[in-house]
Amino acid sequence: MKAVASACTIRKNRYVDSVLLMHLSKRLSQEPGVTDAFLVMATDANRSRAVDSGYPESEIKVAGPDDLLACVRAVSEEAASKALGKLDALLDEQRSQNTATVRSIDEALAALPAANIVAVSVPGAFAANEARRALERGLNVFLFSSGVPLADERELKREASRKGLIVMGPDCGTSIISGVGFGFANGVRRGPVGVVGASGTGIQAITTLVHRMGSGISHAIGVGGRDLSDRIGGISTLAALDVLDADDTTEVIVLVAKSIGEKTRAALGQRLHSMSKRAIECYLGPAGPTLEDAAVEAVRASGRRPQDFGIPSSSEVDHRTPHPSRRFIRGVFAGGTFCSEAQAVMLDAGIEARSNAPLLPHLELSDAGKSEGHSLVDMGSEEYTLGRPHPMIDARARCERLVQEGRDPETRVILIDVVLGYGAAADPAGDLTAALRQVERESDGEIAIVASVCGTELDPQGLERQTKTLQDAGASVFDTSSRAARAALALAGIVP
Amino acid sequence: MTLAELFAAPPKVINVGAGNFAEALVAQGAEVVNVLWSPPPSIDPEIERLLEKLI
Amino acid sequence: MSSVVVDLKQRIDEANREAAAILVAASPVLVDIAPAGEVIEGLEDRMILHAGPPIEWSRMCGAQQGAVVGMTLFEGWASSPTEAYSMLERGEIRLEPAHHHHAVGPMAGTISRSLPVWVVENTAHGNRACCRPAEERQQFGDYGDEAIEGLNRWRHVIAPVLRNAVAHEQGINLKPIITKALQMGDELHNRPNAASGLFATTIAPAAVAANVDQEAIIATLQHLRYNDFLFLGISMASAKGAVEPAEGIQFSTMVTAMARNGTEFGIRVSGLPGEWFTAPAPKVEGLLLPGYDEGDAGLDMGDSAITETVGWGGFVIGGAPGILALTGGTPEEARGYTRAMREITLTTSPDYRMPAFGFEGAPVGIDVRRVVKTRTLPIIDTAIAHRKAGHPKIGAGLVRPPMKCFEDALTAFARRHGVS
Repeated sequence: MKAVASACTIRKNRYVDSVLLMHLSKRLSQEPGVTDAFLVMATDANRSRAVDSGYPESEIKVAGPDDLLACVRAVSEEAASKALGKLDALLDEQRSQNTATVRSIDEALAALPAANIVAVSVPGAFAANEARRALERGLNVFLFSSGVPLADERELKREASRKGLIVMGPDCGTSIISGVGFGFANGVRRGPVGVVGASGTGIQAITTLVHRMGSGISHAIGVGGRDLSDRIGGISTLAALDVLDADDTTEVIVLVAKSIGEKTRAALGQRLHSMSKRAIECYLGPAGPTLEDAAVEAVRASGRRPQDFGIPSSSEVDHRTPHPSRRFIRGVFAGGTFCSEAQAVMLDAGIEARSNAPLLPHLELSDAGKSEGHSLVDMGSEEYTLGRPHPMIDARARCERLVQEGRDPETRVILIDVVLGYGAAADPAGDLTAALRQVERESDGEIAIVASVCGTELDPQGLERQTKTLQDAGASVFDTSSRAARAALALAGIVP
Repeated sequence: MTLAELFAAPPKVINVGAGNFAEALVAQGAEVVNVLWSPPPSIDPEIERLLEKLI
Repeated sequence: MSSVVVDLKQRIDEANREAAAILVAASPVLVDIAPAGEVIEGLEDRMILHAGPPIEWSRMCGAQQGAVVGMTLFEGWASSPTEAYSMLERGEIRLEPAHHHHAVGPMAGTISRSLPVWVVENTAHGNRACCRPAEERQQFGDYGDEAIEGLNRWRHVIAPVLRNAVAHEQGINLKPIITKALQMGDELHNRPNAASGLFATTIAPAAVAANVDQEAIIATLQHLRYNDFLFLGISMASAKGAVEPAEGIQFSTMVTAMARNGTEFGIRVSGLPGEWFTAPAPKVEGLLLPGYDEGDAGLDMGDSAITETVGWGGFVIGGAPGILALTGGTPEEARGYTRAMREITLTTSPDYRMPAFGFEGAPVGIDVRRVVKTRTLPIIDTAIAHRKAGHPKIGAGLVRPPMKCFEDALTAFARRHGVS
């Protein structure tokens, strides 16, 4: 840029320190058309410098050592005076609080001294450190990160226990505290049902069902998948039960878990027995209550009648009579709990489906990437999510698996869950549509697609809209994962 | 703030990690400070060994 | 864990407690402003002290060379820059670190015997330390006429007036000025403005009472009025005087100097007396004055990190947030820096309690072990010189020492105590 014009201005008796002067120079030099900006207190020395720099002496000499002298050079008179015109605004500018430049918990605490919880989702190797720092500062922890060593988990939870704090996690997908959802959480109204869950999608299922039945949630506390193992001993679970038992807004508590250690089971049993409020236990496994059953019981226990809910007539999709080789149900799940629930429903019907996250150890798939017979795959489990986004956020891995199952001549039913809520993808159903249509096409319509949707009308994605998208893509949609699993069995010709 | 106290007040959150979690919290009306986290640089194993004996 | 290891850790902790206690007990008093040759032991003819760890002429950066040329001209050892350069190339002038002579200097930090220096006594221990005056030209490598003229004015007009004033007062107690200034938002390194002002008002009556040449008195008071950085020379001498009694404590891992010569960054550690641990000088991140760009900037230079060594400067930036305008930062960042410095320090100041931190004492006394363990480096705010000789100050910003200095020091300490 060729500078042809300069402009100077003086602010009498305006002291600006050298540090700020440099900053202002930089700002002004970035104005359109400006090639140089020179801002100084007009001491003798600085006035000489200004003249040496080529600025007009006649304008400079009237300034004195207590005056601010501002000069700019630019490509035109207009650009120069326009830039100088911003001087006063810049001088008066207040620095705004920019919370995004905070780099540690300590700095964050300075910006928000009333903080009461730290949500940690950094890679597992570093997560314990952050959680530790939070506990040191007297803050509760929502620990979404997985891959945290067990020894660290134990140490963190013992420390939390000593301080009357809680570690929700690690590997905790969901909590809802005072109506605010952490991690993957759904929009649900406040109400009398409290939830403690070792599984994120389990909490999502219970909370959305309780809402859809017309009731609401006081608080939902995730404790992480290993909390109830004997090596941890249920520290967070017991703390959560205690606090919900004492909480005025909670009338009944649902405990959702998958597996419980032997010793922990005893301690847990004692605590549940001694609580003042009714606790409904929902342990996913064969012959246990379904998530839906637990939700109904909770709503009833708080003295209310569960409203009917239900997607109006999920239309029966017309299928051609499938080739006899097509016998198997293939589940491709985003939520571990829904995968477990489908396994439980099928076990109740006498079907031992294989899984990468089996309820029964002998049913483990030898290769998680390849289904054998009836197979229910949890795509949210660690082997799939290490280094890749979770299927509730990014559907690509699930779509690939759907197409793969669709190409298997033995597949009769594909069973999927679609999970809505904060933290999830913007359009989970839409993200699956192309793959579902491709399955339909490539199987000549011989594969039935069955879906359950976990969500509410308060979720950003909208329960109705998502349901319709799935139906348009050829899926039969059901309100709960247990109903979907039963429908899958029926479609596969299996009568319990 | 203990767990019981946490329930008594609306959550005021320090988010460390995934930015979209912070966004989701803000969308629900919570007060959030988002920490721009980056992994700490690693220590040479030799130095690590010396440190264990000195501090 | 073996009891030998436990024993060593205990000794280190004890030694560090002792070292840190010495730091915070310092009581600086300005006792003189005298020609360096009178008050600095071992400063001879044809010798120039410089900032940072030891370095030969050929490896000095452009700005430091320019400053050395400036002192050569100031002393009259050469009558032109060309002559000065030749003398220096032929090795006719000895160059030694100011640190080796109980002295420090900002930026190039050059001291020769005719230059009046601030003399501060740490009355808690009776030791003295000196620092050259802070100014904006020669110490940045400018050896032009105006730069030398400035030094001459200091030598012939201002320093003598101040010397008489200090003698008249029998010394100026610096601790009250320092404490007040910190409470007023100074950090005594790149923001010593309040301290300079307080010093000016403190010494002005004595300057008048102890001197007769009215023009000289006025020139001196003008100098005090228009030099915001005046107190940097005094705070540096105070810091050097505070930390020297803490040198040579056998098991201490406390840092007793951080110093740069524009080519290398060096640290010294109490339990490793006489040794420098150096690494290539880092680049300063900050703002440049109009007319300069990144390619012009020299690397980190100066003994002024002696202020951070005793817990001022970057360490208390949380109480001096105005300085964050240098890097476009925020008050939260400023507080974050100070908070982070707690990770690596041994104690807190009983005198400077920071309102921004609920009146907790400022972090003081850098522990080499903690720097290495937490990977948190001390934060230093500093001015920027041109990479070539012949220019005045071109900017200011923030910088951190290289981790290598601390790791090398840790390794040397471990070896000395039989740990491998």
